Amino acid sequence: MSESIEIRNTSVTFHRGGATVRALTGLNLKLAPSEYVTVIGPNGAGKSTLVNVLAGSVPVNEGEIFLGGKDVTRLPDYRRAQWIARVFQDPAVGTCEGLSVIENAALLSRRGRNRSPFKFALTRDHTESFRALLAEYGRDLQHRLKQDVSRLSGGQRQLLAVIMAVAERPEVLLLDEHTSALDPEMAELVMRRTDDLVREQHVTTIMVTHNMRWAARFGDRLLIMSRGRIAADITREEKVRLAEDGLIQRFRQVAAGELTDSLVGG
Amino acid sequence: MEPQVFVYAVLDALETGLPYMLAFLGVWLVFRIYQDFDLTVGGSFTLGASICAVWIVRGGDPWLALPLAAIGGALAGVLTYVVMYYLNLSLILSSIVVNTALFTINLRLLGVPDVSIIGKRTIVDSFNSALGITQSSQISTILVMGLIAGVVIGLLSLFLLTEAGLALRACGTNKMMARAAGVSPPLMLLLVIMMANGLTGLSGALVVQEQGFVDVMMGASILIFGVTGVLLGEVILWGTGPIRGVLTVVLGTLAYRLLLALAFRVGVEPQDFNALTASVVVFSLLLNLGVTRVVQTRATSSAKAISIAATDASERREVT
Ligand SMILES: Nc1ncnc2c1ncn2[C@@H]1O[C@H](COP(=O)(O)OP(=O)(O)OP(=O)(O)O)[C@@H](O)[C@H]1O
Ligand SMILES: [Mg+2]
Repeated sequence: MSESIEIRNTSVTFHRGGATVRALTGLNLKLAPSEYVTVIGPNGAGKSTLVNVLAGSVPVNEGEIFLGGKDVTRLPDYRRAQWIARVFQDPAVGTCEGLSVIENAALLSRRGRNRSPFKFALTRDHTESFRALLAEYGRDLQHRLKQDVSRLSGGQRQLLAVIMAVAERPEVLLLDEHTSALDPEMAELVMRRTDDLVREQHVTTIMVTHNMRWAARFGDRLLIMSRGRIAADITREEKVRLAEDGLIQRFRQVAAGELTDSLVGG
Repeated sequence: MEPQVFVYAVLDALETGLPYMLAFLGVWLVFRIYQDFDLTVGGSFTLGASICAVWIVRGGDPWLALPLAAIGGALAGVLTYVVMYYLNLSLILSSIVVNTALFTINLRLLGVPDVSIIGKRTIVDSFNSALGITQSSQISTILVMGLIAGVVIGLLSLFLLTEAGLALRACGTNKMMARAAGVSPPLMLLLVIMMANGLTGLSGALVVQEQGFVDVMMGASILIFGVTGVLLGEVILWGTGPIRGVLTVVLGTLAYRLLLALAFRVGVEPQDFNALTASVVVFSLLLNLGVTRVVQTRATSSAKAISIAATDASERREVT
């Protein structure tokens, strides 16, 4: 079977006020279909850039991106949306204010497909199936279908964003620290629901997290990023063997390496 | 003021307001749905009016003048989009450029700064003769204009509820989310500019047939008049949703025209109307500001109370 995601030799450079920042440096990565990967790394390691490059919202300076064996390097983000669903860090970005809960869901239910000017956006079938999905995963959100999403809390909006993202099973799901704006309890809940949905739908998933314990707990494979590279690629077996403490140690090693590198100017 | 004066003012407001309503809806589409400013509307309004006048003067069918004017307006919108896209300009700047060019185009089209169609057959005459009405009256103008505005407004409202309409609305408020949903912002922008200027062009044609002449400067203040109508409408009616938005424009336009008609009836001179318009804008903004404050403080405090209660009840139960 062909890879679900392949990133080949990809570099991204940002220019900011005269200075250049290399956010990704010759990065290579392959994900098999329905592989579920968590990504962790220090601030500025390039985790968000990796996600943005896959989604198509940041252009690459070098390298190629393949989705399902197809070269998508030159496709804009809204064209890649036919394969990719994403949940942003900021709850205000992942849901659209001014639209109701069900309108948001209807908008995303046609992700990457044609939108007819002759068909109503809301249909009874979609509303009912989405209501059922919310009843199962949405924690009371099924009673608030007609409300504007701006009336939901940040946590409810993120939960809604995750459910909407997987509702029409995408080929690839990208999650960039999608619980970091939430209080600990809500973050835990959203994380568990995300994990349930990803497992049930067998979606190829890249989940960036800032939390070492979650990185250890969720996902089949763990990437540690540092300075625009993948510093460690830890398989499922290794992850189980290392357990949480071992992983934290591994993370420390990588971070320490980074420190030494920058001291010697490498 | 005697009650008759008010009734006459209402009739005046309907007669002159209904033809303008579609232009104001065009302004609203860009201003409120897409949250940007398109100055092309000034030029496309006059373009629609000029196309209509020239067509009718040459003996063309007054009904056919309407789609022609709408197409002319929409093409002006496409021009703005092309300038914006290929020169990488903002919408405001590219529409100023196109608007300037449209002034010349309109003047060339008309040949002279103003053209009268008085004595030519208009849609109102055609309506009257179809119904066997011999004496043209204000009422039949109101009926014809109301009918056309009603149909177009109905179609626009329906469109905003479709899949494409939803994508357009989302794109105006949250481009990141719209892109992630696979909506192309450039395509939506083209769509909204075409629709807005098509409506404005059509509106120009209606105004010409109502007032009997076109003047090459007649579109100059359309944007600010439209914004005034929208803001005034938002004082009368607020809330979310596309249908409510359309109603806001309908009510706002009529209220604004009523204000002008009343002012005229009580003796305010037309040259003072611009100052009146500016006052209405400021007044509406102040009122809206006040309303928003009150609603927000009320909403946030009650929302907070509700969400705290809900969090306490279900979140703890779920997590642990
Ligand atoms: N739009 C941008 N313009 C300029 N520099 C950027 C931009 N986006 C990212 N960078 C820089 O690229 C590097 C990688 O950033 P990125 O956001 O990918 O890191 P990250 O691993 O997601 O960090 P964090 O944990 O803080 O989210 C950083 O040095 C950052 O400052
Ligand atoms: Mg980041």
